[in-house]
Amino acid sequence: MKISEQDVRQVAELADLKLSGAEVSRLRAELDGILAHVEKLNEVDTSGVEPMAQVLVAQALAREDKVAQALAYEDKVAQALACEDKVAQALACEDKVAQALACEDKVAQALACEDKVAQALACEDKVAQALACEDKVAQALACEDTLRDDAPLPPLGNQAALANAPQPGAGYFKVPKVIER
Amino acid sequence: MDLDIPSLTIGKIRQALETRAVSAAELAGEALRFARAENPKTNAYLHFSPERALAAARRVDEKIARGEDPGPLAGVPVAVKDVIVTKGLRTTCASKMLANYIPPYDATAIERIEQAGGVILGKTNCDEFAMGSSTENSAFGPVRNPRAPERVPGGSSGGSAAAVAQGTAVVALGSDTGGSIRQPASFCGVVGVTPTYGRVSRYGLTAFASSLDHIGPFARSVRDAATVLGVMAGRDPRDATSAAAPVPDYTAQLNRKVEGLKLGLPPEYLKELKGESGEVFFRGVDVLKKLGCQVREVGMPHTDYAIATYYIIATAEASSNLARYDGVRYTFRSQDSPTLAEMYRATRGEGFGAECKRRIMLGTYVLSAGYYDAYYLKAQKVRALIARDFARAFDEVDAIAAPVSPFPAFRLGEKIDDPLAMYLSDIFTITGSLAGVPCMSVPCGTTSEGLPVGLQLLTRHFDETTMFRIADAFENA
Repeated sequence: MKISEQDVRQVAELADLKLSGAEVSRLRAELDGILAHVEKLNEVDTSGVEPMAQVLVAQALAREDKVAQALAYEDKVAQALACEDKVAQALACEDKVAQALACEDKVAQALACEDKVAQALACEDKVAQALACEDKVAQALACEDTLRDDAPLPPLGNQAALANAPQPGAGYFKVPKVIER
Repeated sequence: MDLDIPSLTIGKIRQALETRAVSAAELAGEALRFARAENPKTNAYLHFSPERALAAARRVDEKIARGEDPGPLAGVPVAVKDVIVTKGLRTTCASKMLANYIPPYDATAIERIEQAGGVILGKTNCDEFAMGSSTENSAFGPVRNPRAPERVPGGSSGGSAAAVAQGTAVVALGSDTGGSIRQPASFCGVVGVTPTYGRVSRYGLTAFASSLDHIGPFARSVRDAATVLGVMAGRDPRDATSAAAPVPDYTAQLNRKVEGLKLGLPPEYLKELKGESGEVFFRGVDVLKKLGCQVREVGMPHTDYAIATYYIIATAEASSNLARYDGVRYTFRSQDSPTLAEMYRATRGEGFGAECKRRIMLGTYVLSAGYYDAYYLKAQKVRALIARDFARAFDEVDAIAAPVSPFPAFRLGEKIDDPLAMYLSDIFTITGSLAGVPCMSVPCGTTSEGLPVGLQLLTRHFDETTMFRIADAFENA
């Protein structure tokens, strides 16, 4: 046996070919048979023989390095434009790759988000504080009102003061002596 | 004029256009109608190009009306193998991978065919990416042989050969890497030509194995095949491997005697040839002798190693050329892969058929680290020895006559499960491909069951003229 199923899987990896299990076992048998046939070449003595990569080496000509007719831009991109869904697929695929690769970004985003929530909460606090402040102002205003109520009455004249004073004869109050000068 | 589409030739069409018996547009319309009606019998065409065909035909009519030369292929209905790119016309390579690919440019061969007045009717079925010998590896269903509907048309250019045999095209373009023009031509009873490597530009031919790929014509006569090759051949700055060698007028050398030409028969081929195909081939050799060819044996000692050499070189190059189909640059993409790497693998696993995967795997294996020298380099050295066999043979003879296939067209499904047996059936065509010499299949006769058998002719590099001359004399004998 020239080739194992493991060899087939390894070659498939090199060739970028996805094969099913059935394909791997069939290809192993087929390639084995073909490689056994190819062994024949070892019978040939090729010492001193130059490998033949081209039929007629002398005929291979390079053209002059001059700008010549080229495809129109529209023609070049026609296939791409004709396959808009392909572009969409490519983008979707990129997205998937990006998703796989962008885990850290997401965590970062999540963290940033938390920060935002925190900020929002802080903001609410500020609003609350602001509201509390308004309350305080209101209270302050109320306080002013209170203070206004509590304001001392304009001082009365001596007569008036006397008028407000308890009248003589009330029993427990001694009538002050008016001193004439 | 009564248009009998299946019996048309380039010469008959030219005469009909010159005498104004029919216009090119009328002919194109009738040819399309016939091809569409007949196609379900064989599945030779994958899709038609009526707008493009009628536009090309109208250009021919305008030139005729202005008194200009409409070109050597004026009004000729042409079928094109679907591995050759056509601007704005779907080119699938008979693969799911390219099922909706619309190329942005024309292959040089296509440009030259249309400049010469050719009318492209549509694109023909083939083995996926030209990999196969039966056209059963098409993602769009196999082609039936018009001469025997339960049998394969050969491959990989089976659709092109079938269309010409069926009469739904007058000539067709195919591609040949290891026999993909000659073998289906032989199975369908038409002429198929693989020119010298580099004779026809491959710009626009979907690459399979770059050191072996050719474009060549199918036709119902040697003269028509020679005319089409003359139109396509010649240097193209867009293909660095295209040859600067001058292109002679191939048809000018037809209708000449072949008396005295030296013809070689390789005994190494003949020992492989058994059964009725062998009998038909030897009757063909007798005809060549009667025409005055001096037939002698020429040794080709490395023939036995050709298949092993070919299937290393061709698969190695194919695994590299097919790496571009990754789901990004072309039309097919597997859905729902979680990562980019998995998308590549799934796209290729789902997009390629069994034969493509087999060849990609074999090619990747022989090119992988540690195996390169043992397989690829060794095969390139044996290839040099096979080419040397030809060079030595052509010191002695003007052309080589050989069979095309060990057997005539086989039944659909008969060999599909045995890839090695399928590869081994390419024995007679692969040597010429490896050496890069011009080679062709010309109808030689039929078996008792009525199955066509071709005779292969091979000549020196760039000497298609002698090959056509012998084939033309043989065809008319």
